[in-house]
Amino acid sequence: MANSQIISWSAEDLNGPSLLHALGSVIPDALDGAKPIVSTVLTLGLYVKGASSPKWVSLAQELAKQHPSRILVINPTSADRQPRLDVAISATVAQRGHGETPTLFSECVELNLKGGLATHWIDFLQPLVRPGLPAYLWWLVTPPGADFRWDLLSTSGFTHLVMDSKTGNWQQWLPSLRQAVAYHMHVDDLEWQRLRDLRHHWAQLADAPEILKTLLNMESVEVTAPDLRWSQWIWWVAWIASRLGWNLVLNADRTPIAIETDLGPVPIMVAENSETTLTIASDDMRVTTHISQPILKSVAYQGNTTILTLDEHRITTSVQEDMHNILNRGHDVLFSQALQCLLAAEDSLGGTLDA
Amino acid sequence: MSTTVTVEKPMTNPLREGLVDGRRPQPFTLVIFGAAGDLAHRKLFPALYNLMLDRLLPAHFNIVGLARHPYTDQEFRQEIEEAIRQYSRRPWDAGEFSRFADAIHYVTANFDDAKAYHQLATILQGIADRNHVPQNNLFYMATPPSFYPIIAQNLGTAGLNRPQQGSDWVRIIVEKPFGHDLTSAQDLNTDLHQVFDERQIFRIDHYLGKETVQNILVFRFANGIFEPLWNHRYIDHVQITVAESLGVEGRGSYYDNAGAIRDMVQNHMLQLVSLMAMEPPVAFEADAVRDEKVKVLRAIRPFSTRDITEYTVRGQYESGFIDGSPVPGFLDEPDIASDSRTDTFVAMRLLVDNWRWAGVPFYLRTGKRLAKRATEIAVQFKTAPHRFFSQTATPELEPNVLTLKIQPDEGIALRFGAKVPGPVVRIRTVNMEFLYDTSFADAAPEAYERLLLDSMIGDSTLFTRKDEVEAAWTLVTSILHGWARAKNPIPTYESGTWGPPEAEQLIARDGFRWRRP
Repeated sequence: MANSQIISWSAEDLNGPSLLHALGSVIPDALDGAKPIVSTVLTLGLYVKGASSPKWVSLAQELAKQHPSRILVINPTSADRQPRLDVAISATVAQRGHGETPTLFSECVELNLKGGLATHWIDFLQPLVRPGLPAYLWWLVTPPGADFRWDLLSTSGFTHLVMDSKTGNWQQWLPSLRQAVAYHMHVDDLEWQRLRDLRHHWAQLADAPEILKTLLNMESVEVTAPDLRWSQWIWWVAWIASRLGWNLVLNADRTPIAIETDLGPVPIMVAENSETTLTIASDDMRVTTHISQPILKSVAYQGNTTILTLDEHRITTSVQEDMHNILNRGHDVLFSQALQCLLAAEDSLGGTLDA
Repeated sequence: MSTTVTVEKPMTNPLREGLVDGRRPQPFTLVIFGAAGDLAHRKLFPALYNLMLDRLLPAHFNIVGLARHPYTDQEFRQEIEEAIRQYSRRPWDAGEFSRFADAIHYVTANFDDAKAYHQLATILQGIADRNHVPQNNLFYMATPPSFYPIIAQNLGTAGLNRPQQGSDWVRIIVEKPFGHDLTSAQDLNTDLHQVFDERQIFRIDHYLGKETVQNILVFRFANGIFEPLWNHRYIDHVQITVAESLGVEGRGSYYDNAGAIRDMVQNHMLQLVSLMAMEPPVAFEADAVRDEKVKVLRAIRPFSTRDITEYTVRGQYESGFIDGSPVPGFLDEPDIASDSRTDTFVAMRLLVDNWRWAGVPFYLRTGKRLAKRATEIAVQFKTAPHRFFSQTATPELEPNVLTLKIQPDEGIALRFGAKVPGPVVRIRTVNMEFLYDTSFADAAPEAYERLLLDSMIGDSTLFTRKDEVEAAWTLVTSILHGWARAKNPIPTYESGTWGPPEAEQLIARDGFRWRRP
């Protein structure tokens, strides 16, 4: 941002009221008493417990430079000590024209919480969440356990939960996501963002009537990948199923094994292979997408004849850009639909697979 | 799995629905007539390049430039590279440009050479065949307006006005100016309609591609609190200002034939009036929006001869100072006739004769070489019906004003009264301000990016329709005729001021003053 300055401040062993006071006074003090106009349009919490803190603080600071927000880096370090709060604040202030009031563009507040504050961080955060604006909680680590107070989180002002299903075994997130949805939080996934060009690619493929017909009448889905922990195919399958009003069938590991289409069950076959591919087939038609980092390449065959090819360069994005896209574009309803499709499939397992 | 059931009926693509940023067009070829010109270099190619960087173009797209200047493909690509380096919103990138350049082709031809259109047809067929893609063709007229009918006619003769197959599409984009009065606009519409259907014609008014202009509809219709106030009961009057500090800037010969009323009022400013005054459309869809806009234009009270004298003012700038530097007067600019009576400033009062706006004046002013560059719409509300605060408490209290700032400092401001802290009641006017660039992190796309993308997708919501253009010209032509009959000298104003004194008198007659943007 042009004509901006960063104001930094830190203190150890604060309490809640003194932190609030600091948030109200540090910036005017640095601006010779001028109270800036606040242009913040959201709150973003990064829950980083157990993650490498400096990395995420630096990411938060980059996001703060880019996005008008109050960013809270929540780092509950240990619960078995005396309550203690160490804080570092960095604020981006934009100077407007000569004689005009400066604008507080964003603040990044690093909160290192110990003792009771580490366990009661939701209560502690409540006054820090900007009221009346969207508030995102980006959960960077292992999903919360069954005893997590979703009720408290949802009433604390956090309206959105952001996860990254790439970071681990995505299935372990499902119970938490179910809870978040039940408490009316919008759920978003960074991995879903990364899938954007694949969704656009398939939307473009399905513009061709033969491909759309193959999709609607598909008889099998094949997935190959060098590492079967690759989760994007699951969101791809869930997206297609939800767009077409179909259901998924999961196995005991909560991995999709079939799509219940209007015409009957379609098996999903997953195999390890050096190449990452997604294929649908129907009758003598076969559509395969080869996924590599720079390129998405799809080929549609009718028998042995190639009837369509589509090559597209992929957009490479950083985690910061993925998060920025979520903050800027807002909640993606298509992700909710795909997630609902997975949750409904999990429901049909009979509730025997609680995390 | 075996089954005999198949889906045969064509249906909409369910995978397209709901995609965020999912407005990606089908494969297409864009043909730019006048590709060697300024508009193509400064606006069109940079916009296309940025659309590609944003991955908003399909995998298969091609651009055919057609102009009289002799270039090889390679020479033309080098020209475009220079243009993108200079004018693109996003920085030039060698790898990305290489892919972009591969899609560019050039044809040297005169616009009136019928053979060139057959050659073009062969090229377009070749592109479709090579890439196994449908022949979706978009023709862009970036030429002087006199060529529009000639190009359209030749496209028709070569059979390029109709899709080659049922599912293909053919569209044509027509740049402004669209005619220079009502008759010429009607003639141009007739010429185009002899070759193209109305749904194929996309008349560009680049103001409609601006984010802040589109935000007028969002502001009015996506918020519950403003629309109940948006009528004669609460709004006192509306001021629309489009002020430029620049002069004619090398466009003397064009501008001397156009003037501010044709260059700004007929298109941009009447579009702003329409968006501000229209009723809510039933859907954010091309015809629904344009139906409502055209109703506003038709509801504007026609000017009588006397009204033209009383409620329109034109002016011409003289020398003066802009930003402290001396600038010449209009008559001393290159390519301007020494006895020119062309208006470089226009102010007028419009009345929209309908239920919502009865008695609410809309004041418009636009001009070159004014004190600063500013485009804004200011809605002044009526004062509170009863002031129970004493006069002494409110000496500086001004009416509430909602200002939509189109450019620069894009945003919205609301002026209202607030109590001055202290033991007695004193009220002072304060401003509540929203600024785009501090509330949104992403830079807004250029207007041409949005409009080009819409035309590729086939969404004509932000393009003007035949009846809209003609309704606007009906109003403007009546003023032009009135001015033509007037023999009095055209008022002048010093460069760097806010126009001739007559403009102040126009609004003062109704008891108001122009805002200082």
